[in-house]
Amino acid sequence: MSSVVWTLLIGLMISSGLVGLGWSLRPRPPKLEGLLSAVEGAGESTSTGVIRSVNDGVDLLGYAQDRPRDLALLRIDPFDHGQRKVITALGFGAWLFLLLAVLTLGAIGVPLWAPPAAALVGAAIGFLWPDIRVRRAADDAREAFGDATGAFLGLARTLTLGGMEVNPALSNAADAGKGLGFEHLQRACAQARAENRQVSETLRELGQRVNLPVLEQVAGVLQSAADAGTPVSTALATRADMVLESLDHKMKMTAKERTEMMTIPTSLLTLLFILFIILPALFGMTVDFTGAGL
Amino acid sequence: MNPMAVGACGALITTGLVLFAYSLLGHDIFPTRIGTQNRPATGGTELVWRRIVAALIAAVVAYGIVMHPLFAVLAGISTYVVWGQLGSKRRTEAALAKDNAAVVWMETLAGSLAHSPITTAISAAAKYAEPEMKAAALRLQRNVEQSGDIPASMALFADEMESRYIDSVAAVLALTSQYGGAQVGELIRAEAAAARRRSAAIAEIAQEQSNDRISVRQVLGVTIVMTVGLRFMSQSSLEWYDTAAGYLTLLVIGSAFIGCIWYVIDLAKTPPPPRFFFSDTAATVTDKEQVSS
Repeated sequence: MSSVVWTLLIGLMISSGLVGLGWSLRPRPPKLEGLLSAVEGAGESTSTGVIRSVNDGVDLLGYAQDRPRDLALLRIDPFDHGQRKVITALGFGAWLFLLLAVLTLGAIGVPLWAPPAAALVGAAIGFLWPDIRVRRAADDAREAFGDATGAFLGLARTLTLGGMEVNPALSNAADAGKGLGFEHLQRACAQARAENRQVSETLRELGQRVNLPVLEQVAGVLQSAADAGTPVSTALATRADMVLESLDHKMKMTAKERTEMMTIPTSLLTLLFILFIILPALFGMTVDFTGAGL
Repeated sequence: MNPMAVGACGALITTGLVLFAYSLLGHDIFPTRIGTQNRPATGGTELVWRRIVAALIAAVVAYGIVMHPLFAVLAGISTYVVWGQLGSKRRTEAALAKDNAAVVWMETLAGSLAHSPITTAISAAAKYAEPEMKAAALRLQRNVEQSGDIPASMALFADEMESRYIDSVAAVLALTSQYGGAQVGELIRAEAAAARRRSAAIAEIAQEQSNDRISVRQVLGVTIVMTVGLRFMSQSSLEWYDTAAGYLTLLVIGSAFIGCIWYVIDLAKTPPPPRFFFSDTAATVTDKEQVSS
């Protein structure tokens, strides 16, 4: 194949990747139907057939079984996520292909099979990268959601002690806060109001949808307190304290773990410093022995 | 190969590199909603500029001393990574003092709420506030007295204090002023206790990390001193870094060095618990960031 055809093909792949990337990054408000489907737990129902097939293949490896819950938690449109995966795969694969193709055409010993192989590896990495990012973001969001739940319960308890009914107290407490966790809580309370149900029921559903066991436990506590006729404020206070203590404990554990890990890069720094000083001496001696330095 | 095609390829490769660099610098190429949530706009631009200026000065000084472009680049990048990020005893103490002042303010407020209305309790807490938050507490008192709008004043105060525990206190006072409530003091005391526990944990963690921070500083200092010393006392020992192999080795060692420092700094960070009560102004900034990213 002539270099002109190669160049055309490479240019087409790269430009389509970059155009797609630019299009994906354009500023826009979230899609209502996407948000609704995410909140209602519709998973990837809006994904295209090709994306869904590839995702199913990846799911067979057990990698992305929690992804619909992660997307629902982060309120990311599943179709947008699928689109990002394709664009990242295309962009990353094309970029590696181009890099290797230029080296191949430069006749510096890179074999002909290297560009397509590198493109495939790059595309695979690019396809999985958005999932990895979503998973990390979802882990952080779950921790933040747990903290928001603790604050929410504390606020609701104060209102119930002031004489407010449980459902309005929970709704008003949810409306007081901002951020992802409180937005989910507000939606759950609004759903309960709209469907004339108990907030504990919609909280339980929310906990199941976004994989947050704390919410399911809170719902259980509220339900059992209502069934037993005990004051809800006591149950809320206990649960709020438990959530905050658990987060406190987790913070300490994480910080201790990270402190212990700090010894690894610190030791490496010393090793690198020694290498920096020793290497010129070692190579300088070699040059002198061969006579090149004379 | 056609020079035009080579040029186009070069431009595209550069675009890819820029995108990767952009990503490595921590910018969100593929923004997710969580990336802009729970994060009202905060300061920090000034520090970034200081770091850039310090990095440029370090690069120029390094080039002036060692006369090696790669040394200069690595010195500049290292300075940018380290400047103001390695933490200091003074800064940790200042942060802890601020946290303790917040705890004292919360406890005074809780005590006053037992027998006074909210506005009186806010005034009393402002009167006995520690110096670290006296100004903010007095501003809150003035806002409440002048506007009478407790929820809005509390939101502004929460924005100023930037603490999740203050958020909780501000939210409960805002809610209580709107709907009424009881045993508010108990909730505030519980938050004060949680804030105290966290302060103690952070002080303990900072103490445990101090040895590693000192080690990093020592290695950095010794590297600088040795490089300058070799340059003036044994020029020949650094000449090998002028060869192609030397450049490559220096690039690898320097990159790993910077990577290790960055990793230490990253491991030493203890992110604060996410905030949940802030003013509409702060939320608007967040929304704008989300759209523009």
